Amino acid sequence: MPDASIKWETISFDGYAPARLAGAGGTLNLYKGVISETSSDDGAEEVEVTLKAVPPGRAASVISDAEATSGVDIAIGFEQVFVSAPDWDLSLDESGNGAAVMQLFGGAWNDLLYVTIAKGVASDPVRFAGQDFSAPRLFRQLDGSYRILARGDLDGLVSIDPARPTAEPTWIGAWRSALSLDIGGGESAWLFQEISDVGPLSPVGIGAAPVLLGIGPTGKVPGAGDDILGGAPIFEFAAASSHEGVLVFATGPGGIHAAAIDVHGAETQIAVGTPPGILSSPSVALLSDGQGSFDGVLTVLHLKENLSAEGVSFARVPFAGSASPAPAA
Amino acid sequence: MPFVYLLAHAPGDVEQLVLLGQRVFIQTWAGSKKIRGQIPDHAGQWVLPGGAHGKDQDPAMALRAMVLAETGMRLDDPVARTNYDIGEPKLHRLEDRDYNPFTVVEYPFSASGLRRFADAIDGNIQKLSMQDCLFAKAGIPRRTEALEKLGPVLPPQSGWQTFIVKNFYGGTPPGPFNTEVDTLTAQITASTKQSGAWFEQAIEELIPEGSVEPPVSKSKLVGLRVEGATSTGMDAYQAQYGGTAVRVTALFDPPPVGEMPAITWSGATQSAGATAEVALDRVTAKGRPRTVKAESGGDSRQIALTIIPELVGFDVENAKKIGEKEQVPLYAAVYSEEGPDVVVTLKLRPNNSEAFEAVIWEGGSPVSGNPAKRTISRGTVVDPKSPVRIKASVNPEIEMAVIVYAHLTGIEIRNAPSRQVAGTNYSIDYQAGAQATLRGVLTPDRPQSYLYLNWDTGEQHTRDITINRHPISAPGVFTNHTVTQTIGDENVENVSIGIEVVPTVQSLGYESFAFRDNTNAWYSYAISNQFGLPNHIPAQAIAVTDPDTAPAWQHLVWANDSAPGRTDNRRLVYLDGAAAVQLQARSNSANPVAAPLTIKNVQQWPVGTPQIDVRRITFSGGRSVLREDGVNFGNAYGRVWQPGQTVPQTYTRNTNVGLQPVFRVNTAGTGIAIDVRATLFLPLADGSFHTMIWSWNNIASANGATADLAPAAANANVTLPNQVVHGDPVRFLWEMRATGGHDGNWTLFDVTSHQIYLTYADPANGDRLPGGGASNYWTVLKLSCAAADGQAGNAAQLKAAIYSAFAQFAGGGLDPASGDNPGALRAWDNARMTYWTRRPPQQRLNTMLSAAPAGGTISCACGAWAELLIAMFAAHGEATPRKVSVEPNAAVSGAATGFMVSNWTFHAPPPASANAYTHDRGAPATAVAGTATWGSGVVAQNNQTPPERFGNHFIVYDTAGGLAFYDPSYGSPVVNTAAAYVTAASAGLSRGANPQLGFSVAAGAANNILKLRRLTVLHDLN
Repeated sequence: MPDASIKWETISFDGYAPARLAGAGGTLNLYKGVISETSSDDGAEEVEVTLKAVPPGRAASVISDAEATSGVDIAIGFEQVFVSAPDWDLSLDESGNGAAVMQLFGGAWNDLLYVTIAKGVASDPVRFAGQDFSAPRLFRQLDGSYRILARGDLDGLVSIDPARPTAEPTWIGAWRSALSLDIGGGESAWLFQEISDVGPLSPVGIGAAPVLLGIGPTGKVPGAGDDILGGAPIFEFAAASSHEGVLVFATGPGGIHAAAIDVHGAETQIAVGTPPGILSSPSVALLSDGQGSFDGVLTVLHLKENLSAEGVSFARVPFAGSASPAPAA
Repeated sequence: MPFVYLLAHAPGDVEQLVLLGQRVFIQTWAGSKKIRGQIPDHAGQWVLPGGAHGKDQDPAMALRAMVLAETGMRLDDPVARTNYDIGEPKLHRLEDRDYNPFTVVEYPFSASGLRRFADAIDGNIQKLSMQDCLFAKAGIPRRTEALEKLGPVLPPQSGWQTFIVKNFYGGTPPGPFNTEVDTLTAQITASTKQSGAWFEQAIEELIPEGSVEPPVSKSKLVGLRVEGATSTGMDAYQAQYGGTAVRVTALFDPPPVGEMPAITWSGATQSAGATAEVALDRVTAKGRPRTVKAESGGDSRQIALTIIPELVGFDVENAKKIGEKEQVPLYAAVYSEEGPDVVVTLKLRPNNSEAFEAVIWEGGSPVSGNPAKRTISRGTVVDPKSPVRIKASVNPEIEMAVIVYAHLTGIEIRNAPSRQVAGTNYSIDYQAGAQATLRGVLTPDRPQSYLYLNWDTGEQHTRDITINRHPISAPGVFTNHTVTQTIGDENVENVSIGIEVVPTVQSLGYESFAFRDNTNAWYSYAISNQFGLPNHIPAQAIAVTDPDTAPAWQHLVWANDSAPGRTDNRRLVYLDGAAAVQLQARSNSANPVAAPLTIKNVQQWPVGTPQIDVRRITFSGGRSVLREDGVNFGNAYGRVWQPGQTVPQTYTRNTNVGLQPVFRVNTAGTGIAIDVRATLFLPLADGSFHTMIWSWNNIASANGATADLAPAAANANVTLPNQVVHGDPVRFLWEMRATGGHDGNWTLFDVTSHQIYLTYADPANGDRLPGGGASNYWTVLKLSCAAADGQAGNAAQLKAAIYSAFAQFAGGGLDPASGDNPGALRAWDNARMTYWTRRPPQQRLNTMLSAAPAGGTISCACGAWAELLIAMFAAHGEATPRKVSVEPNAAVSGAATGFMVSNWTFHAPPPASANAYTHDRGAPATAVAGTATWGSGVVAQNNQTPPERFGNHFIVYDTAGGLAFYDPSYGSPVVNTAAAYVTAASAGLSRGANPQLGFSVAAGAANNILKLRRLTVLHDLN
């Protein structure tokens, strides 16, 4: 499939990675973390990170339905010792309820802060400490509660139950990142990257590793997985699921990748082309196409040399949960 | 009260002459003191000397005492009686008409004697010191005149009061109420009117009228008194020429009264009375005396008088006066066999032959025809204890002495190669443990010549001293040695020499980029700007000196020096073009050692050989270096190098390096086989080079063939050096010749440049390094080998050297102005690695080394810096250092969210607390009570203003060889306990968004406010 089948809309973006799609249906918006840094009279740095919806501008045609509503700011006021751009994740439903998780910089390593969100208003944060946490991701369980998946410096991938802040994290695997998605039927799809022995030093690029897929009963962690995306080295990946399957969107040394995977694990590569520049923070969400199926909304940031973002590209791909995505609209 | 008066008289021409004295009007002396003035008895009258005396006093004695007091004359002195012809006294007791007794003592004089007596009284009156001077003057009138002079004095016309005002008050009336003037006037009026009856009675009764013949003397000549000469024996005297005349006085017994008996003198000339004089205007002949004789009345007396010349002294030629010994002038003369003698000339007064006839000489040699001179030969050195003496005697005598000493002409250096540098400064060659001799050069050079030598080293009476031929002198600093000829206290000669101990140049040769040909001569190639090399590629020469030390090298003087002013033993010769270079080195004044270097053009192909260059080199042994750029991170650079590529290699020290080259044939040969060799001059930390050679011989090449030549892999002739080496860049010099040629036939055909890093040991897996601990990354090797360049000792030294790369001010590594660590550059892109200059920083080594830089820098957090240090240790086989976490100790304060980097100041009150959050954060540069402020100055890697607080921190901890805590983010000094780290690194704990600060370490908070943990085992270190 020619690249021209996917149309990317790019708008300016002022901020830092990550950028995440959150919400559903008419409340789907792209959020970014806005760092407010103030210096009080006594010179103290007071840092707050607020998750704000990015006005889609001309990308509205990609991301929104006609009745779409613009997102509300979600202020998560954490004291950060340092001015920096933490990694975070956000999950919202159509009502604006959900949760957020964010790194808290300590200088050497990072704790995690977790808030629940009710109609756009964040609760007091809960802090999780003990090792250097990175790449925090939320996944919503069948009962609507959330768990945090994060890479722990000591243990690899762990699962944290926000309801039990003092409990030891649950070890998931010698993974460097993972997503868990409900695909219906009592099963979940796990997308993960293993920690390679060669390590940060993947022979094909720093931080790049193949993404594996494991499908199994919800609550069970797969012991192994199969390569997806052709086994290509991947820096970052995002995914969204329906009961039809999983839509994966990833960046790697070779560009960006997208694939639709059905509930049986059958994968269909989606040719999405590659926008120019340093790409980071892929995000994906599903929107109903109004015809009983879903389209996938993809976003990816364009970074400048100093790692701040200068733009974000939006694209919409058909995702019907089948191996044969629909032609471009 | 009895009175006594003197009646001195002498025969006159007509009448007897009488001695009278005229009293003063106002007496100004009394009892030997000056007084204001009083009116004496008989004021202004002529009277006989004398006056009232004590009842119990003998009148004659009382009179003599009063005459002495009033006139200064002694009547009973024999000399005076002789000089003034005073006869025997006679005492007369008289009574006046009223039967008042008074006494008169009559003294007969000769006329001349009385005249001289009166003159002497007048002379004494003028002396202010004379006691009780009552007389204004003395006189010797005839008897009749004397009687007329006696009695009252008429008042002056203006009256006595005017007289008193003028003479007592100095002409100024004392005032209308003064009564003293009236008293004085009454006194003088009465005194001047006093009667002179007693005086008239004495004269009239005791002195007959008319002239009286002098009595015939009965005195006999009994001896001669000699003045102005020295008695030398019975009636023998000696006087020195030129003095006051000798006076000889005839002595009579009893003394003559009246006229002096006639005296006939011989040998002297009568002068006055009984005295004759002998003039001292010529010496007596040949020292023999003359006779002075007096005859009187048939008696005679005589003396022998010798007049000697005056011994003025000696004039000494050809010798120098050096002092006196036992009051004898001592002279020193330098030895001379041919020079003039010491000439001693006696100086006399008078300076005539008659005088010299009186001289008796001892010592020296006479000079014919010159009685004033003696000579002493300088041809014999004499013992200082027995100088040659010359004595000239005329009784008395004078003496002088001469010491002849050897001539000191210089100092000679023996037992060491030496040379004159300038003037009296010499250099001698260094030799460990050896000594040189300094010898005083003397003429004549005989043992007795050494007796006067005195070295400034304290050695005496010896011509030789020894000096060390070590250590090396500072260049241009000469140690002075002086030898002095000392005679008595006089330094008569000295010579000095300056000695500089200089190294010897043992050899001068080349240690890099130069070769020896078949005649052992040095040659190199003009490779600058060739083969992709920069300009000014140098060959390095080294001079080997004895001693071979830095102080010795400062003495080196170079010719054709490419680096004048350098003080080491190495010089560079730039290989910029074909040339014949005559590099020379010498130490001070020594003959130079030369190292001629012939610089040849490259690629002077032997006839018939293929013309080749290096197409490829495959390294073996050692290890691959890993790439760091983002795309290829972790990939090996591999072992195959090709022109234009950067393929760094790493080896463990003291291992071998295998090379397998492939040569491209650019121009075919005629089938002549070739030899190829590659030479690596590996630069070492001490500035020297380790030379390694790879050889491939008899490489066949067919006639006309252009196929690559691929000889087998070969190891070098020697292993790599046994030390860490930062070989970046190093160059292989590729030479070829026709097989069978000699070392003069080589020609250089290519130069290849490489990066080779030699580690202390095989690499180990470092703690918690990304990728399981691999440490062969280019930056890790480059930084660690540069820091540890030359390390060959032990692990502790290795680690100290590696950590020195992180040192800040204490180690001198950071620029104190900018905080820059100039060495903290990534190898592959020269990006500057910093600490917290941009956020978010890189937390791990992999991203530290690979992430894209911003503005030429890559901001890294403590974890990355800790891993970099661990990787640098591990690259050299040191795997024990661990990555350690630092965080607020929850056991101390569960509320703490961060700790304060050192250099905070707590401003009181309240006082900083050891266990409570007492202070708020204060604005910088303020000092408000209850706040704490952070001062700048905690400099981190390439960042002068790192964060003031942290939630946590990574450092490096090592147990091997004793505990050590490294903080590579700051490069601060290593500490050996966790408590010491806490104290050095932190000021206290903080909590909250607008932090409350406290738990001040300075206030005594336990130094466990931070918890240090080894992350891998999760146990506490403190």
